[in-house]
Amino acid sequence: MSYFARRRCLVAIALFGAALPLALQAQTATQTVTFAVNAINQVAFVGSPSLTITTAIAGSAPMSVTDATASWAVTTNQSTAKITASIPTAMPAGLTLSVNLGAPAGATSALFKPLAVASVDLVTNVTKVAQGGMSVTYKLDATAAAGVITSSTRVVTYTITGGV
Amino acid sequence: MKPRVLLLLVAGVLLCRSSPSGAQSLPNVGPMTVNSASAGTQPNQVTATSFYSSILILSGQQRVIGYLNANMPANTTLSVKLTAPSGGTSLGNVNLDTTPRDLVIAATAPFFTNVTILYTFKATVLAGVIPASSRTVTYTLGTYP
Repeated sequence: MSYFARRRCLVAIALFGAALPLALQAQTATQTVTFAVNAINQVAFVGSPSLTITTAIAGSAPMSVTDATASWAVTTNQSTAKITASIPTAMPAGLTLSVNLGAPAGATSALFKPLAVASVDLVTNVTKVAQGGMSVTYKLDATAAAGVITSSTRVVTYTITGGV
Repeated sequence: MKPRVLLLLVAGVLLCRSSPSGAQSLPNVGPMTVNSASAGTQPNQVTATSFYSSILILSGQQRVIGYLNANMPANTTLSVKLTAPSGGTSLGNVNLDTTPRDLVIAATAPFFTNVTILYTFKATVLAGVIPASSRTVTYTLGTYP
């Protein structure tokens, strides 16, 4: 074998030796993946309920009316959260607006609760649940002393809070 | 033997040394944080992408196998999808755990020149709140079929 032939052979061996470990090393690769889950609390309400009191039985207070056209949904990955509600301004004298939320699995509804500027608890023990299509029933009560009240609105603010 | 030839041989031998573990470390991924949801539905999944490129000396077709060093927390899943423009068949999103699972089959050398690694992290509400945690994904090559 000539000098140049031997040199080419040795170069080939060296290059093969250099490439071989790359192939061997690449047969196993590792990657570290970091993940986390933050606290998630979401509520949503749909619908625009409307209530009008129009009748009464003689000798009794005007008849209450209800509206159950709205619905609500909740997602929380925490435990023992609660749903509260409030309205920005008080109802007119003699008029009471109440709401009753259907409870998601494992939670407890307070049934009809009058709405006020101060927050009121409507559903408690809401724990790690994702559920929609739950009932929202509003009720409007009036005394005769309320008189005639022109169409008014209140925005009800619902909040999920207190989860741990 | 000529000194230049000897030098070349020594260089070749030195280049032959491999790392003790023989494993290549890919860049870290994450944190992948689940932090949102639409009311009434499970939390939104999050994804992260990594890339891999290497020139491999392969004989025949290979499979790519992946597994974790520890299982994921309850009610969470970490899946991975390896894709490349050519040279192999991705099995799509594969949930990872401590059991080695096929991710790619019929892979040839061109596959490894341009690999996209897509991770997807999912958590249901039952998972609760999970502080930052890590898992090591190990990828290995195996003969195919």
